[in-house]
Amino acid sequence: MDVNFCYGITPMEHRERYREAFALTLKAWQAREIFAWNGRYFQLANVNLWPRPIQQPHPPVWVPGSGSISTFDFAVEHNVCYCFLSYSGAKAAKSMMDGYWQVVTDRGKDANPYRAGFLQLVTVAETDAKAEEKYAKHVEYFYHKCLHWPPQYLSPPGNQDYRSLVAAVAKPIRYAIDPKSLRYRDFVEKGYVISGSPATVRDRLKEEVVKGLNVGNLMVLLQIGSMPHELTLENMDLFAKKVLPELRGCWNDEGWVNHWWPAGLRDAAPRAVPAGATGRA
Amino acid sequence: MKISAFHLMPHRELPGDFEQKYESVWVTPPWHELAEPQRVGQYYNWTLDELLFAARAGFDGVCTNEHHQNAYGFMPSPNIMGAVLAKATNGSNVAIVQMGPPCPRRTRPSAWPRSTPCSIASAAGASWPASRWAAPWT
Repeated sequence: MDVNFCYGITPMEHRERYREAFALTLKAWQAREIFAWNGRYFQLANVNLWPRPIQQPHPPVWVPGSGSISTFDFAVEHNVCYCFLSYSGAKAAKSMMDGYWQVVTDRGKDANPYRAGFLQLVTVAETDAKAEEKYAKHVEYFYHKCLHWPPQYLSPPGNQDYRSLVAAVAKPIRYAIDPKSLRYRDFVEKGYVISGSPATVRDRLKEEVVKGLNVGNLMVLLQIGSMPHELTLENMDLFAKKVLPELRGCWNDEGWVNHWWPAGLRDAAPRAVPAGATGRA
Repeated sequence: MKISAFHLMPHRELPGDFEQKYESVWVTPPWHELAEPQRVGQYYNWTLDELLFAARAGFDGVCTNEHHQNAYGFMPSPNIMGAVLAKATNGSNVAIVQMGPPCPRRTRPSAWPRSTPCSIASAAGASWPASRWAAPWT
């Protein structure tokens, strides 16, 4: 949205620029020799990165998408982790993520759950009722104010590739609900936000997100809208103590390798941030 | 399974009638009516403290992201946030997930080095290979 409306780069050009920048970055990270790059958007006489990444052959790459079919193709062709930064939860994402996994299968790749990342909004409290009491207004603030923009901003000409346009016209799920008409209980019921006691949150995350969408790289948004600092820390603390340990073992029994995580950290147990490394303001 | 803490760094105090009074939270929200620089500086501190709290609490990774002219996502330059997080988590097993270095929208090569995420990995020290890159919203 901002690239188009603020920087004046049309969506079709942005897609091309992105792909050229992607190719240039991956080559620059890996090349043993100095090379020249004479692209359409970038011209560099001597590409010779200083300094170089620690990770070999290069840092893991994730590509975010929001349902464009051409991005599914791109992610699978380049063997990156496709990640959906969703604000509307797993139920709404199901058909889209199924589309991604279909492309993975069609192209002969394995269904390694670490090929997928997903962002889920989460709020945790001692009980489901407490969660409503603590978080309802912040969740509503997020959907009513933070996601307030004219719908046409989402669809500047050329934003969708043709196949995605055809699919969206046939099945306009993404535009079906106006979040301003929904309240906290609707957001929770629809799974936009997974909210409640640690047990509720754990079960819904496992069933709807992890297993439902086949996701190995889970991201959780724990500071939501107007949520103040202290409440955010409470939410993070409860999630880390009561939910995270119960999810960490998911997929362990299937033996997949997370190629999209730094190799040195794949099997690492969390190690505390050393004292003195951080300071509170 | 890897579990990371994401953060948008939103405006936490938009007025009650924001959605009636203004056209959009993105692209056109008027800064001078809606924000105050010192208060936004506080948002930066809260955001970094919250992500570092997550890093200490046992999350596998912490995520930055990139939005421009946007009141719900205040991180126009994720590499700056990532650099702070990399330094502050040095020596731990926490990964930094860099969402959206702005390379595709830069037009001059002089801006390029700033947008290469490898600088984060290198800044983080020899034993800590924790940078990850994901490119902008497509």
